[in-house]
Amino acid sequence: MLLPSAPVARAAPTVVQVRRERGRLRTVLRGGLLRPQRLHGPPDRCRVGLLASTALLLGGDVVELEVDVGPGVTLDLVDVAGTVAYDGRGEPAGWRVEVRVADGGRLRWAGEPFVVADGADVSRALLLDVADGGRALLRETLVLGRTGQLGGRLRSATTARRGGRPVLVEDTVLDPATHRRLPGMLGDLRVLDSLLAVGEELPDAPAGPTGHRPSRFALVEPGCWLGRALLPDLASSPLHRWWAAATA
Amino acid sequence: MTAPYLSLLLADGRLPTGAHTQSGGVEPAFQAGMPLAAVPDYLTVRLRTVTEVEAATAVLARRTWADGGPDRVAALVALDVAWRARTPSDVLRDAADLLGRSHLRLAAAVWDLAPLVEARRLWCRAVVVGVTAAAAGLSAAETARLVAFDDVQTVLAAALKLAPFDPAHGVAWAVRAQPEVERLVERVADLLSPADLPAPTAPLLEQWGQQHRDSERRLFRA
Repeated sequence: MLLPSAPVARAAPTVVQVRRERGRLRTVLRGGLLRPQRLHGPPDRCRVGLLASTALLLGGDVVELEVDVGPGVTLDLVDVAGTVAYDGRGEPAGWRVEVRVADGGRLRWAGEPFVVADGADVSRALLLDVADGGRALLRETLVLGRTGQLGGRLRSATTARRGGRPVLVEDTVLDPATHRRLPGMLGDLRVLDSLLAVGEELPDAPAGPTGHRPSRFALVEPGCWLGRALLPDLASSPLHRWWAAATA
Repeated sequence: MTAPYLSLLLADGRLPTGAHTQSGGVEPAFQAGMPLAAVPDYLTVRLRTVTEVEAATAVLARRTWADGGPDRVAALVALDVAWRARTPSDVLRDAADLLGRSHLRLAAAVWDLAPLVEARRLWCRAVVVGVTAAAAGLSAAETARLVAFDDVQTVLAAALKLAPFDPAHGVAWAVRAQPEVERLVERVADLLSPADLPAPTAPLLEQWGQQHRDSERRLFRA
């Protein structure tokens, strides 16, 4: 693997903290490579939008985001736009997210597509810690390549825990130069569209516009689910409908 | 030195563990349209993903059992849970539980595995194989190789039943898989702690395995 030729400049992590103090929602928002912004929403919950503060994601960029949902708080996190990881010209890029949801807390995060362009070399890591009485529903959409591309190298690691117990540990290495396109990995498919539900019910999967039916996995912890569609393109994804059904 | 002999015994397809009900996912792979000629590539994917997790779990279970600490059953429970968190498909977890149960019934009749039996819980196959390997005196590398070999042979034997071909091709494919098997052995044989348990996933394998339960025509459980 190529090493960065110069030390990677790293911005401070982006922070989104929400808690309830004397009945009022209090948010602490701190910008890094992502800029969090409070959005209008119903009074019983907090809506925060995440915007890129610069052209993301270039070689050498490391995006870090910490999300903390306090007891009894509902946070809706919204990606304002998708992200493209561009050709890093030999330099890797990183995307690390740490999420904590306290007892009685609830997080819904409808992530927008994360596109790995040709030449990109990206490591993603998601650490999700949900208390026994907390709930979280996250959508993660990984797209390999822009239109007509094969896509770069992506390593996506997910660790989800409930009450400290492991729920899902995945380390998905999708490298077009190794076994990504072999049968059983992804073959010719380019999109992994996932819903991760911890302490949230995930209804049966709807069929997508092209009839594709995703899989619904009952994870090892009761009340925890993984929904996943593997697709040739994003347009055929059933996950818009599934998200809508799960949050209805 | 009984390990080489016992290693062969445990790898023998005639071992009555119920493994003949499994296809190593090759039946759902064929149903999803994978051609027979892709079987060697399919083996490569398994050896780099699910089978690596399986072998790593067995290596750690072997070490835990062989170390003989007072908390070894608790440590095996944690390892079993760690394996489950790395296997999102409940269908594949159920298949591993079924194999774990029959393997334990067999192994406990041969070796003293009382603490494992008395825990009265379902153990995934990888944990049972690892503990059996410890009782039989296999090394970590022999344990990993046993798991990998078993996986290769399970896939090839099932493929032969599902899409009959010259059995010699299957043997040739098993020979060709050997370097990939040895790379797997190298990756997992020195693992010491459950925190190091790798989690490489194969998205389509998991999906095919999950959807197989609803398949109307199937010879194999998984």
